[in-house]
Amino acid sequence: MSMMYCTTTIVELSAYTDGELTAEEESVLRRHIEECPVCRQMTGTLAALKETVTRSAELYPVPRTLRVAVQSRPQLPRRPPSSWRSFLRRGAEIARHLLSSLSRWNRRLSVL
Amino acid sequence: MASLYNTARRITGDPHEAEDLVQDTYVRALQAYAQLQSPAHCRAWLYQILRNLFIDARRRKRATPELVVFDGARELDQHVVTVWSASVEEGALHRLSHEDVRHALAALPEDLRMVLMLCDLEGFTYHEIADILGRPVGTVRSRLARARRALLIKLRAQFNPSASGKERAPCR
Repeated sequence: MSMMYCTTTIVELSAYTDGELTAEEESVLRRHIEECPVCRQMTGTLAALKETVTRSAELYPVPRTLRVAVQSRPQLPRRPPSSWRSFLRRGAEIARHLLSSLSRWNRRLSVL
Repeated sequence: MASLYNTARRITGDPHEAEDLVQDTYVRALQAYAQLQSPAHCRAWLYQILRNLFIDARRRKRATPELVVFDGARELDQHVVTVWSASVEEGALHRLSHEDVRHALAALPEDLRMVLMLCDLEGFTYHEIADILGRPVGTVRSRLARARRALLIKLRAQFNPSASGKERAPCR
């Protein structure tokens, strides 16, 4: 497939960049990329874009108030037996009230 | 919790809203724990809850229903040759500041920004993203490609405003 008749789509190259094609699709596309200069450049651009997006992401520290609120809630159980489910629902209800109270209280403190 | 909070910050753009969103996500997760199919899917499941709560909150805020611009049949030309000619060059990407990239990302439609964040920042597979968004894998695939194309075009306009709208010639 020469570049002049290239019908490759950005969807295919994007999935190729993410390693989300089947082995067969990937092998066919890799062979095409070796021959097609535009697809070769576009593959490089997509890989660079992925890296640029990752690199430029701002990392926000988790607020202490959130950490405290979440850590004080009941932990997610491993696998609840059915008899535990009603107990968990009740626990979650209590946790929800606690969290919303904590949140309101923290907001008031931050305003002060 | 840090990655969940960071995603919430990026999609809401507001620290207080993000904090509430993460707290509500944990509360909802506790309430709906019985619905979790497998503990191995717990992370994707938490993101699914976060995304649904975010959409619910946005719907409540909006007076009119959300218009999803990039879904539907009016598909633009997805051929690499066309996209490439309107994209920023690979070398230019390395010279862009983090601020430029964040600015271009923030200007993407919400559905495109979300799928890009889940893939590039959170490292979810297409299947996991499909579960989170409640969409088929094919939609995730095409939405990601649209997000990248839109971002490349925006970045080209930012890097070289005079080149915006012009096509570049292929170099062999």
